[in-house]
Amino acid sequence: MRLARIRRALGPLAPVVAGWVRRVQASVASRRRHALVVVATDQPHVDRAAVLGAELGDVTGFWLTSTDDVAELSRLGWFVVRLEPGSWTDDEVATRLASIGTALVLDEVIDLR
Amino acid sequence: MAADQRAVLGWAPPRTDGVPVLFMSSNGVGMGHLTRLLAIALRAEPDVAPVVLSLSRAAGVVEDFGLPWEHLASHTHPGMSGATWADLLRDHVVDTIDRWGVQAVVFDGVAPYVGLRAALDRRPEVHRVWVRRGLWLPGAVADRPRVDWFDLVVEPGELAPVDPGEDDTLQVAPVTLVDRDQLASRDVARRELGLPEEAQVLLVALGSGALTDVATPMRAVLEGLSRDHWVVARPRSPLPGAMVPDDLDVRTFEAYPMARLLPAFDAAIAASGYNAFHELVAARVPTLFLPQPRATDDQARRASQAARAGLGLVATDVDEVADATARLVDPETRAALAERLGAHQVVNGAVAAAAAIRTLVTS
Repeated sequence: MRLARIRRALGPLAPVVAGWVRRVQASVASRRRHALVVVATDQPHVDRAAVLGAELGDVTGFWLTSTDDVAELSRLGWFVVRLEPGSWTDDEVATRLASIGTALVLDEVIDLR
Repeated sequence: MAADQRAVLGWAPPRTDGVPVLFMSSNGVGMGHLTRLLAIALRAEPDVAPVVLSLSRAAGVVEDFGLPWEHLASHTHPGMSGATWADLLRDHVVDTIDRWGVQAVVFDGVAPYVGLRAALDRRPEVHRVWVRRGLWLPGAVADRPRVDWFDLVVEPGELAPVDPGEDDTLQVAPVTLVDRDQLASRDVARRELGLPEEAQVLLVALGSGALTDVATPMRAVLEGLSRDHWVVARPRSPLPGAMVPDDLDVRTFEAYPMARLLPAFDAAIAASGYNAFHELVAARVPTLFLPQPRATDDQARRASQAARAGLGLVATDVDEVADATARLVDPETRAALAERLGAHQVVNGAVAAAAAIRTLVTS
């Protein structure tokens, strides 16, 4: 149920995110913990994902966003990383997500495929 | 839509073909370190290309100044241990240096984080600069990090010279985000803040802090001012515990940088944190300073410097707040303060700080 909502929220971004999330999963595979990973790279996605974050309030996670709405996302209690648009490649984002995901000791990685 | 602050303040669009320099500020929910760093970054020479990395939740304000900016949640994030965050910061700073080709990291914060030091140890070719406030509480100086780890330590100045001890530092004039000639006129500032044109308006900018007992005397003071037809206004604070009772008739506003709009106010009651203090002095606003207790910053000493120079009033005890406010709103006292503030020469130390950083990365 949750997966379906997240996929809908991310829309066309979901396949890209899925690749990043696989990298995070690989990093935390041995931890047997869980977390929610949501990546939003523009404002509409942030808006929709923020609603999901509020609905799934029991989940720890982080955002990586190219929007300037860091304050609002922080208020939701999420670990926020913001990279300047155009300064990174998908591989670099995957590396950052893996690093942060590992640091947060994820409770569940939800595969968005 | 947010305003293009570069245009508002009369600056040209930034160039991006210079030597990349990473300006990194601490702060979780506050903005002091970020604001001071931004003041320097915005005065970088054209052959320096600033990139901002801030731990502040308010980092988004950088967008309005046209500089590239990034954010990493601070160590105060719940559920994360200090050691874990240190590793995360290390990896993140290394990644940021590599992605941007950074030649120097300029850090503004009380102490360089373990993770930052670890990152720069992995990139030893990158210059290290620390922007360090000068007024440390006497008890905190002993624990102050060593400066010899840095290539350059810049101390934003105060009204009176500060003894740096045995540390080798570059002391510059007080650093403010906005220069005097960038201040809005009184009319423009009032219009932008939605304040009445004719009324006498008092700014209350106390932030948050441990002095919660100030709320009681502040209530009496503000109620008295309302009876005397003063309009009281305060910035909407992202911080919990702002020391103005919620049920009083106080106008709130959002503005960044607030410094540009300070001419809107006839007087102020403010904490004597670095930025607000020097912004109020530069904007010639007669102010009663209420020093707040901090771990390292000596706000009481800063406020007393203003009092000695005749550039402000100070109340160091909650029992003094009412009497001091009465003096502040007295027309003769305010006129005398305004005259001395007008005669006080202001030089923005951000220019010298930016020049020193440029010399470091281009020589």
